[in-house]
Amino acid sequence: MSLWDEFLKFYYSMGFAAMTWQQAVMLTTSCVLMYLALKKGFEPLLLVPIAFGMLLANIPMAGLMDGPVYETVVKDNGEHYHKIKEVGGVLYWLYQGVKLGIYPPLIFFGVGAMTDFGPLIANPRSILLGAAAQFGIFTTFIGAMLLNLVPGLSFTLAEAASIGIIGGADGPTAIYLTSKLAPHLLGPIAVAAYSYMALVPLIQPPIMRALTTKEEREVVMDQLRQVSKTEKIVFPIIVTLVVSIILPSAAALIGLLMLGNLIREAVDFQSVLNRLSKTAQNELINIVTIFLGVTVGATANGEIFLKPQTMAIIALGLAAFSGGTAAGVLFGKVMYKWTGGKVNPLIGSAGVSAVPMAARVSQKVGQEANPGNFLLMHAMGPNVAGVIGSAVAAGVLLAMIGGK
Amino acid sequence: MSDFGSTMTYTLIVTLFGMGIVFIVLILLQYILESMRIIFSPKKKEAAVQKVTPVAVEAAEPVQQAAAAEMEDEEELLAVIAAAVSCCMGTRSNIVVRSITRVYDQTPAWGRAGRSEQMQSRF
Repeated sequence: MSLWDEFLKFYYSMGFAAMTWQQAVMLTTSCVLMYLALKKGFEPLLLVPIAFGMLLANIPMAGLMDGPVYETVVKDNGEHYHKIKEVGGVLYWLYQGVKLGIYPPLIFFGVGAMTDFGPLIANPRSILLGAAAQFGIFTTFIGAMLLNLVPGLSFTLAEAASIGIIGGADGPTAIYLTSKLAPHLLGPIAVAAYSYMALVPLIQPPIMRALTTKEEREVVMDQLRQVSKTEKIVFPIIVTLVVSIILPSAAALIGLLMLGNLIREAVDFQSVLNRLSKTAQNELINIVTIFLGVTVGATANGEIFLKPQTMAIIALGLAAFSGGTAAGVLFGKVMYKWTGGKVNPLIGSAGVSAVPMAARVSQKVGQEANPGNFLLMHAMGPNVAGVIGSAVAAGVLLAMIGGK
Repeated sequence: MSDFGSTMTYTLIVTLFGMGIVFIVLILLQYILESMRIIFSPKKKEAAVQKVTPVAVEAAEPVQQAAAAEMEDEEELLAVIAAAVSCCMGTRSNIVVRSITRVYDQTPAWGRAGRSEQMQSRF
């Protein structure tokens, strides 16, 4: 009989016995996400780590996201001290980089090193489109608060702000703000933000076509002027100073974004900086992406994820994206009128960051209307302005709601 | 319910402030960028464009005669090629382009695929 007892003992140490239905659903969800990432090519760089993190966190009894356990020991002389009983799971410790707001600024550092702000410097007016597209964030914020009227759903101001920031279409910003305001919603918000970013080519074009006339879509824009090296060097320094002094809460994101960009542009003056620039663009951002993806995925544990709240977040995220796109295009139309037809309203939709996907969508829709039209570089202006815009919006939300 | 009302009021205040500050900051940046152009950008470009234009017109004349049989939209292309040639040689004298032969791309398919991949990955 003792053989049977041993078998039972082993069986209870396995995952099967301890699995809850929520965990089973989450394991399936993570496999679906992995399928979408690998087979359909939905943001594979992020969705693969996120989906696998989700898988790891929902394995029963593995405890990868468990925190350390301390034991209070009282010495003979009455002194207390804490002794580590269990050190905690590996993902828990990696997650501290998200919780303490370390990874998103590091990602921004790499993004800055990869981004050419030239199109924005060449056409400063396009920065306004990057501002208009942030409208989606705030309409969704209001929408989430209005959902409090629906029985069974309740969002606090902090939660609503974190949901709204999905409309910024900027993964690191969304994660940064959520980790500060509503860390318990990180899983659903990160998954929604990155899924919709992957779906930008499907979500945006119908909205863009509906809001513009064929004549507007056919507008060919003047060629951008040449931007001097000095301007490119001065730009990151000035942006950091202006934005961080007005909004100290946005300094972490904007500061590192611009540091990365400064290093990138300064390579032409001091070629030794090439080493830093290369590391920021490749190794560093890749390493941080892995850590960020896996641990954000790991926050999606079944008990938290499978709630009506999550469905509401996913629906609101779509509204946020559509709202941002529409606001950008409408503001593009205003600029079209204002400049007497020199601005193609299609570049407005690129104001929702999602670099460079949103700019490519503008290019594609523009080319459908007029095959000889190349909007890509014009759309890159609002596109990179959108990154600054959503970081500013996150800074405002953090400053106004963070203290509440 | 009044609690909900006051929260909604605050929500609207945050929205107004938020959009306001986003616009103010970015408009401020716009003006800084405009002034940066005036301070740092050299004004050589316009002069260069003007220099090229007369050459292009001059050079385009013989080309049009030589290639009278060409399609309408190809004339523009010929003018551009002639202008580029004369610009490259640095002469302002009348040059005569007798014929332009199209050389088709000799790059193997793999090479082209690699090149387009390189260009795609830039954006």
